Amino acid sequence: MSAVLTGAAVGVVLLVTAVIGVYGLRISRTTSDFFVASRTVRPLWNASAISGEYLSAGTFLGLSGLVLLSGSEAFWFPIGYAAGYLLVLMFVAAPLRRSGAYTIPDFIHARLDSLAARRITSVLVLVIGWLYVVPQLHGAALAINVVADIPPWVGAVGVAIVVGGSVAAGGMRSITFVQAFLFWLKLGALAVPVVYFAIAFGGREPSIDPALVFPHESGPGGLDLYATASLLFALLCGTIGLPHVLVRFYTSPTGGSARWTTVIVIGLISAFYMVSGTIGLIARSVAPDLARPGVADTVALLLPSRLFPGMIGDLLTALVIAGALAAFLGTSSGLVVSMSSVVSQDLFHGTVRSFRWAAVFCTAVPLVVALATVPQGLVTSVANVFVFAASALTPVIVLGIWWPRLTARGAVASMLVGAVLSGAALVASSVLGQRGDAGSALLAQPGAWTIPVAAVTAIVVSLLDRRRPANTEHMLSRLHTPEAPPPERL
Amino acid sequence: MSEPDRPARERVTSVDRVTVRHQPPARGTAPRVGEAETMFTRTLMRAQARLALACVLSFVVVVACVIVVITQVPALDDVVIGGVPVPWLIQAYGFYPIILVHALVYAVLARRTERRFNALVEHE
Repeated sequence: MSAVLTGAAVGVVLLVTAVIGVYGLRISRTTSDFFVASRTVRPLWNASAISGEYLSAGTFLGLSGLVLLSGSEAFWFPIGYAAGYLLVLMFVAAPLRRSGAYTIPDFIHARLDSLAARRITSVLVLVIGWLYVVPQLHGAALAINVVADIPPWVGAVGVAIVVGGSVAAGGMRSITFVQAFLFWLKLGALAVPVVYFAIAFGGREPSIDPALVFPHESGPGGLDLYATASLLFALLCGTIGLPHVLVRFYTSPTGGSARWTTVIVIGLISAFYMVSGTIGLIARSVAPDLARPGVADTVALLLPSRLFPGMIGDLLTALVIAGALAAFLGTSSGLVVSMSSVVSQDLFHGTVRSFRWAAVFCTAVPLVVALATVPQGLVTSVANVFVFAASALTPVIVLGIWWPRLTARGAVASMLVGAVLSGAALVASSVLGQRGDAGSALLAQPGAWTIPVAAVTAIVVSLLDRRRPANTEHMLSRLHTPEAPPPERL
Repeated sequence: MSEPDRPARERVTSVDRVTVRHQPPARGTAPRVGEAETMFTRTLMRAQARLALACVLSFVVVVACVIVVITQVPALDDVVIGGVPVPWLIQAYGFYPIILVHALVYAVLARRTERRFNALVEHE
């Protein structure tokens, strides 16, 4: 019974995704349709799409799993992800929309007038995108394996085929609608079970001992100041450097609407994180036996049938499966769109045909990596990508928008230093393992020092270099000058 | 999606065609920037940067205060609502309203700055 429902849920999500994708195919004809949805997307649609893309397997399954496994420190992750959009709003949303570029490499190239800086940015965007898709495919493998007796690789391959196929078919226009649909599906898939749990538990006194289920050491009281501060700093800055987040702003009609879109996004993802966190809190009180590494990430899938044996539990499980699938599809397809834009414009001449091939290529690489590696905790793998993006790209993007004296050499030096330092620290940390001394903490959470070092590198090299691009004034005026108000309205 | 006031579809072109690769993208605005415009832009940039930094500072201070309250006040651990100690509840739900309020305030103030700038430029 449960297998039939699960199959039906997966089938419905894939069908709707495909239908919206095909509908999109009929209306995406020109190159600009493919890249930025011809800039006709309204703020609420756009905000739903951004949120749909942003909420990945990391928070859909991983947040409740980590709350169960290690306590309230897990909440720092969604807090950082949501607050990251605050920095996106304040420092990059409107100026980047006004820059008129498609992708981060486009922006860097236009601002610094340097092909070398552009190429390095493209490589970093690809690396960040691939690193981010891998945990999504791991999550898909995990989810499929838990609810049905299917080998893990089927889930990863299935999601990769759907993502690569739909992006290649419809480009960003149809992806915008797919993403918006997937966001509401994800929110509903966790919110409906939470409402059921609340009704089931609402009437009676909790039979648990709060001091046992929510011990002080696992709660906010057990805060590790350096690790938490460094993590929050990296998550906050990392959102600015994520390629699939920025590409969305190009679909807003004006800089002002890009800003309001971001405000709506913060509201939507906050609602989702509160619901997802609630599942984690419930899991701590009713499913402590699942608090084991590797198993904890599946708690959102296992909870419904545990609390409601029978038909209701099966239906709720099918709904959560549909939402989890939406999470893998949403984030991966958004990433593949932005990576394909970069590949097709840098290697080919930005044609529709090259975009399609790039989509296939950009899905295949992380699939191979995902099949060859063992899944780690979903939340922490995603957070490592944020650390890398925050160190490699964020300083250059923010300085490029706000600091007139940035030069191409400064940007290149900063990107290389940030990428190498943060990459090396994360690799060293996973090779050496947890040791509990100060050095180990610095390697495990390198954001607190790698991001400032990358920013200082950009500033020092630029000041020494002094070869400011000739178009600096023009670019800055374009980034910051508001659009003239429409004459008939206001 | 068929409302009459829907923005018109706009044909956008890539800035990275081979033909324009060595020129900055020019779309709409004039490539030469006068001194007055540069001055206006710098003033606007500084105003927006000050606003953003003030909002970030306010956000950091408020968040730090909440963190101190939930970590340094052990008495809160004994207050339990719905089976969950209050510090856990604050950490799970309390930070998002702070983020949203800062976002709203920033967006409103940033729009006001830009309107002032537009009015100023029109008067010139």
